[in-house]
Amino acid sequence: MKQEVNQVAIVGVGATRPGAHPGEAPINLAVTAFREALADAGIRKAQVDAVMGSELAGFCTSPEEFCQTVGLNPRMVESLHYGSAGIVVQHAAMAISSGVCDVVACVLGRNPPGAGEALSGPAVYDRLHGLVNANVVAALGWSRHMARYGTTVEVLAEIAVAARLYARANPLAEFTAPLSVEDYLAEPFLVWPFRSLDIAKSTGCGVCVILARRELARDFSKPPVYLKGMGRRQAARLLENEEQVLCHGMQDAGAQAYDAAGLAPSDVDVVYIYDATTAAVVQSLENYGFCGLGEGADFVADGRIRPGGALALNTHGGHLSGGYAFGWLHHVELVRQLRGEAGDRQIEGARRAHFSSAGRFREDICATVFERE
Amino acid sequence: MTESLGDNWPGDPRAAEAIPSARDCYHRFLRQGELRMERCDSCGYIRLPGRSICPECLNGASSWHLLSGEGSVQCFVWYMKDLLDTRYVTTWAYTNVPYNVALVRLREGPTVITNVVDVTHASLSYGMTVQARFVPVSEKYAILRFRPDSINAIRNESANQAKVFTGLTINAVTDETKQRKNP
Repeated sequence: MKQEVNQVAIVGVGATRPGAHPGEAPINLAVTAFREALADAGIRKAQVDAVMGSELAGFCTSPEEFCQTVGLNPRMVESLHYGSAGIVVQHAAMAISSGVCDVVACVLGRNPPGAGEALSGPAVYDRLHGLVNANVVAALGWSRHMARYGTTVEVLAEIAVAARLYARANPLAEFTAPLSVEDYLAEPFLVWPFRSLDIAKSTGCGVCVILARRELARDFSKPPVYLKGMGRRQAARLLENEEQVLCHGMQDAGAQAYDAAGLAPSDVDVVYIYDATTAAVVQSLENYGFCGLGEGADFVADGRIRPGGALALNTHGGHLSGGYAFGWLHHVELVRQLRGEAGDRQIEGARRAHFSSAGRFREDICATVFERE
Repeated sequence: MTESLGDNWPGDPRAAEAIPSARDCYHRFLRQGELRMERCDSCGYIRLPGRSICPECLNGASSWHLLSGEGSVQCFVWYMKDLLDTRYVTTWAYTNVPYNVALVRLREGPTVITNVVDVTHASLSYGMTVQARFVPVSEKYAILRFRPDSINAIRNESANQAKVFTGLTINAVTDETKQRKNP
């Protein structure tokens, strides 16, 4: 079904360096990113008529605090409880396409303790049985994948190494030390089948993504990056969803997004996957149809997702090596790629992008297709 | 990876405190050595513990259906290291690594998050047939774990289980007002 969101575009992005920011208040990171995004879009603060953000896992500035700090009385201020980037950006697009507002600033300002070294996802899923850390739900998912398709633990090395290679070409990336498959395999298991390198680390970061309706967007200084289709699936019933751990809900979200866009996964030039873990990349490639179910391991072999490979994926280093900003830096990067601003890691002629995420304990599934027209 | 996760593994000593009142009956039945879940009187759907109505047909009436306790291992993880970094996270943590967390699909349909005991990393396998194991965590409650079906004869082991319980330091749950009904 056609969606009115194709009348909405990202017009400005800004981001701080992800990593440790000792003593820095989250609001200051958000303000830095906001200034940069306003300049990037070539607009004034007063043109922003809505601000959106989310609480995520805490240690975030709120949209209310943000508005007070930057002196805005917008039409709308909304904070989504656990809205990672894809969900907030989609929400902003819905608000604009409904006609309620024209220019939405989506903001992240987060500085958790342990930024730069602590494991992300320190949540408790099942206390009685010791299922702790959100990423272990993904580890269970990869275990199920191995059981179902006969895949191996070693496949994940390729995901970690590809992310690191891209990060080394990104001046903003957080983890840039050389990493080989041998280095990966030499690391002991943390929670089998995952090593520490399979799990993104917490980070401090400020990001701002500004969206505007089409009639305004075309007057801004940079080429607008339009949303062409959005898909969602909320697997709220968790284990009562058949194959929840294999993320099969992504198939619904992908079908909806690509149907609305009138496109197929083979039409996109750059792919951005919410890689809280390495396993999420393989399972996303399969469920969104970049390859067949159970074929992800072969698909990523032979350097296909490394720099210079056939599929440009998480070209900033993703969460794993670029920095875990809940999908926000994925959006910054896809905008820069589609504008041709990505420097050494620019994918020649990139015009369409895929973003997808499975947040929280992987039940918040969201997919968006973007295009520079 | 050679350690066996056995009956003496205590799990979280404060597990009983974490049991919400909506799951009171379920864990009381487990304490009596019975795996029961609510089966909808209208459509027959067996729901996971802690839900007040049938999520399929929205009917409220249900009966505590006795399940076989048989299941198969869908997938599992092994914690090799405590994942909660106490420098940044102020909550309880398991420290008895290695231990496993598994998804077990019960013969009657539902899938549960659990632990498999009496296995090593080498012996726990996909599709393994397992049998319910009831591990007391307080005077009132037990939790559900599983062990390989080959080590059968586990029913009516209340004497042994009481011995396991005695070895733990557990604050008895005394708030009787949270009881919904006494199974």
